[in-house]
Amino acid sequence: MIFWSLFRRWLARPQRLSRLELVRFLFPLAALGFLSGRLLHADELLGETGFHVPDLGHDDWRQPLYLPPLPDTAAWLLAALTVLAGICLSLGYRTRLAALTFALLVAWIALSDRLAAFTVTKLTPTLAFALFFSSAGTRYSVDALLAQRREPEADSPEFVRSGALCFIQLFLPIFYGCSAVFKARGDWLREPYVLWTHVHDSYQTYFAWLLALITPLAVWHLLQLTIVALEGLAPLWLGWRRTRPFALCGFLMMHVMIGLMFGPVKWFSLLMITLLLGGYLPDSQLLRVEAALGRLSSFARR
Amino acid sequence: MPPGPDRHAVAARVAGEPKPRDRVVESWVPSWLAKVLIALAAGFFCALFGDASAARWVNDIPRPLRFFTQIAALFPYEDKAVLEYRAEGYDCQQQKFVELELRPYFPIDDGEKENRFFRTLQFYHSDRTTMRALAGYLIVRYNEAALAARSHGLSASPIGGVRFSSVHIPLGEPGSPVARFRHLPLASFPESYVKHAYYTPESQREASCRELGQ
Repeated sequence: MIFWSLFRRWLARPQRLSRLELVRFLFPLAALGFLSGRLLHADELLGETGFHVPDLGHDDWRQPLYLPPLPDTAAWLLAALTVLAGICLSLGYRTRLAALTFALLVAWIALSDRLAAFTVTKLTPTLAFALFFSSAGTRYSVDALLAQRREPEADSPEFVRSGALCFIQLFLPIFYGCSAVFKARGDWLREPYVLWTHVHDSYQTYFAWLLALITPLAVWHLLQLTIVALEGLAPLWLGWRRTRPFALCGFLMMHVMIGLMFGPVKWFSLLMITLLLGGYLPDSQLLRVEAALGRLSSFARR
Repeated sequence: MPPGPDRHAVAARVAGEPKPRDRVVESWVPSWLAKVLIALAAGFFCALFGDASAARWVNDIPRPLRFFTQIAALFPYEDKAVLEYRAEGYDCQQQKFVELELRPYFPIDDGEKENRFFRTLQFYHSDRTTMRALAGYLIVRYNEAALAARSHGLSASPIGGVRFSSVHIPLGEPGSPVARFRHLPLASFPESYVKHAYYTPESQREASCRELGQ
């Protein structure tokens, strides 16, 4: 009971609204960035023109649900709607409708083809649903600008009680912890050079190649252990107030390096950076962001 | 005694907590729905952890839902080799396999391991139904393009079948210089690097070529 009551208090605590709005603004852009290369070929991705795995007709882990390819026109329409919903969500225009539409459409894209499903597309519907149930769009958004035109005297809120924010703040340490469990069950504690082996294939960027040439092998091993420790103890690092700023820097650096080293994974990195900033950026830093946004919005109002 | 500065309010402000007059946006979600959402979020987190720890109970989650929780397995294994997948077509005129340029038929993420051809081979190389569907798709699309090229006076030979292969390029000893990744022709690899995953049977290739009038 004590735990439940503490949890309820934690859930109901007011947090800076800009956290939620930061996620609302950046997360759809990261998701759309990832999808952009695919949606440019909507007829290949979702339509009848492209190759689609046939209905395997049995219980198969690779095909959680068979969704038949769409007529090409419908595929292009779905792609256009996805982009529109993502942009509307990012700008905060009809935010809740945009979040729900974005969640449903990306869920369709992810389910319709296992070949196009990656962490970004699988996570996007969950996050968009979370934003749908939140008060995202209350500030720093088109909706907020329109509301202010209707009621110029109304105060701009600074705080929010948001289950969606709490969800993101819980999601990050749990996600990293689970990732560490996967790594520990895999090769990361058995083989010393797992990271080094991943810089050879088509993900390799010029930066990764140069880094691989100049970095001693021992450093790769050290980095590998650091990542397992950082991820595995993420609930502690992110949960404890004293370690949180260092953990935030550590995770941000990790994702920046992943983005620089593994080309197509950059969108995943941007998504995680967004969640980290929205969830854990210290309030003092958020106030600076808010001040900058305030200047921007007063400029927009002029 | 005049009231001094409210130390609690000052401390709260520094800590980023709201002042009494600050407006706090309350959630629009009704209390009953909030409880449902908390339960769903808890289920999501349990499924994430269950998936990571290979718990059996996650197999009972309906697959379309479980699919969205299978997100945390990020590069858990070391790469034993650089793995690539290639397609060859059985040229009816030359009567031999020639490597196919896949870009026109799989344009998304061309040349990368996130390409749909690559992913099909990666996930379904042992599934005959999918391999046959892939072969059929590639043959039809290639031959359509070949016929269109012919109608424009260009020389293009149709294909009567396909062969899909995986190429396993060794990484070298740990610490050895890392090579810049390049897309090389299939013929440039030693035979020991190449494993055939699927091919159209010879009888079917010949029948297809006859049908195509070659």
